[in-house]
Amino acid sequence: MAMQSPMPNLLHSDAGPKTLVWMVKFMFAIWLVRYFVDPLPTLSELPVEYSAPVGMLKFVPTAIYEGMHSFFALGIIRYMIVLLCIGVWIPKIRLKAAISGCIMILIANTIVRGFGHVNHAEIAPWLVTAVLTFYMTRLTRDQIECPDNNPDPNASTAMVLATTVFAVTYSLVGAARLVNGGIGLFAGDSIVNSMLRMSHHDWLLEFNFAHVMVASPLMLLMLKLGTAAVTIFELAAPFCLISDRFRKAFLLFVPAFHLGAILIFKIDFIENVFTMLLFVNLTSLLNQESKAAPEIFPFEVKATTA
Amino acid sequence: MNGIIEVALVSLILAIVFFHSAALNWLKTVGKTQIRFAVVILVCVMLGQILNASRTTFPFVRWSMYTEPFENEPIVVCKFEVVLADGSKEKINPTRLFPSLSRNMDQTLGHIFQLRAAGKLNQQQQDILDDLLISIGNRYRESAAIANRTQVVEVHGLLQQVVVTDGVCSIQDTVVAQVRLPGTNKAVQLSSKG
Repeated sequence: MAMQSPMPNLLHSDAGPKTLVWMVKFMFAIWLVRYFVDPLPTLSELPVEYSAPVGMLKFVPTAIYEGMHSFFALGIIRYMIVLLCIGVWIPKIRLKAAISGCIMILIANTIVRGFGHVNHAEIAPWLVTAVLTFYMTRLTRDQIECPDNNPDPNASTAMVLATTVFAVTYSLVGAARLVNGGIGLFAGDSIVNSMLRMSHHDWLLEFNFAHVMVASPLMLLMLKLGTAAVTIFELAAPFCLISDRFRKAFLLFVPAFHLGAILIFKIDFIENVFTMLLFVNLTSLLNQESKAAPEIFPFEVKATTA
Repeated sequence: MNGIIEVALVSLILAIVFFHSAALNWLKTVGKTQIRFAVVILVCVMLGQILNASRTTFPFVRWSMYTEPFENEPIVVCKFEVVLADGSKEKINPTRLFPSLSRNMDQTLGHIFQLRAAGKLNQQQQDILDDLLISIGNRYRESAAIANRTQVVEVHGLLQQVVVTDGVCSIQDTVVAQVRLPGTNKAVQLSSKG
């Protein structure tokens, strides 16, 4: 009989090393795909004077800062990240690869942000990765290389904190919208104008659904109501930690909002959508998986289920 | 001041969550060391919001999206086009040329183009903008070389105004910056070889 968790209500409170390591691998899989397709070295073709140092790069001497924008340096950073992300999947080097990967991804993001406004799309997933990696350093070597799923304070704190930080980023966006813009953001034509402006920016794919939206009063009404609803969801995001019902509603509504944002506003938060896996009870899923398919008899189980 | 109110609001929500019995029970099982780091991280995230200096505090930034009403201002975005050797013009998409930047480039440049149109850029800023246009043109020429369309001679920076009348959108382009690409002759030769 499965051991009952004494605190079933707080999400991830019963997480063990297996959940933590699984989530770390998942986060680095996101970064692997990202940097495998992202041609970072092309930035070397832009004039370095156009970029302005961000964060820790403000403290780097100009010569080094400029050197970091060379084709060679950016290529090294890109392929180092790709290799380190793969390294996270190899038990023996998992921890070192995760720590180095975190640092390299931050450097890459810092360079990219120098060329424009400080975009948020990759920051929340990076914070999640950093938190998970930090707590992974506190596990024993055995827990990192062959993780079990017995509840562990480091693993559960990692998962709870990562989920909290991720939820707080949404919550702060919602709070900022309500405090600064207030009801005026949803009542008048503000969101419609904003949609038109955003949708006319260039993006990787060339389409414009905003023109269709503008012609339909019903769709515009849905846009206004949807924006107000999503603001409430964003503000209340931390409740995902203690309420199953809210979490399910959040997981239905917010990814749909992100999809809508891509189609209507051309704003992509793809990494965020995948990071929302944090709002799923992974420990329970991984335990079920272990019970359904014991690792020692994988072939026998497959034959039975077939 | 608004940052403090925002953080207070979110802290209140966090307090409700972490004073819930489930969270209190869990907190009893974890050590002080684990909690200490968690508090430090959350304080950094909150400070990023209050200080509102994302370029300095990165990766602890201010989280705000669509916070200002956008009612009576013209809808203006920046665009790029190239002029080919035969005088024809083509719109180009800088996000496709530099995918790492996603939309960052044209969001920032929209503001710079407006300053340029108002004559508020100094000589050094104008030079950097010209270099940027040349980089975009060269990158386009490089990527277009595959399709044997290398005769790009000029790059234009545009401000595009979007006007909606009775549910129908119309756009109006104004050239605010233009620069001739160096090495244009070489590009034409390459094209004629193909």
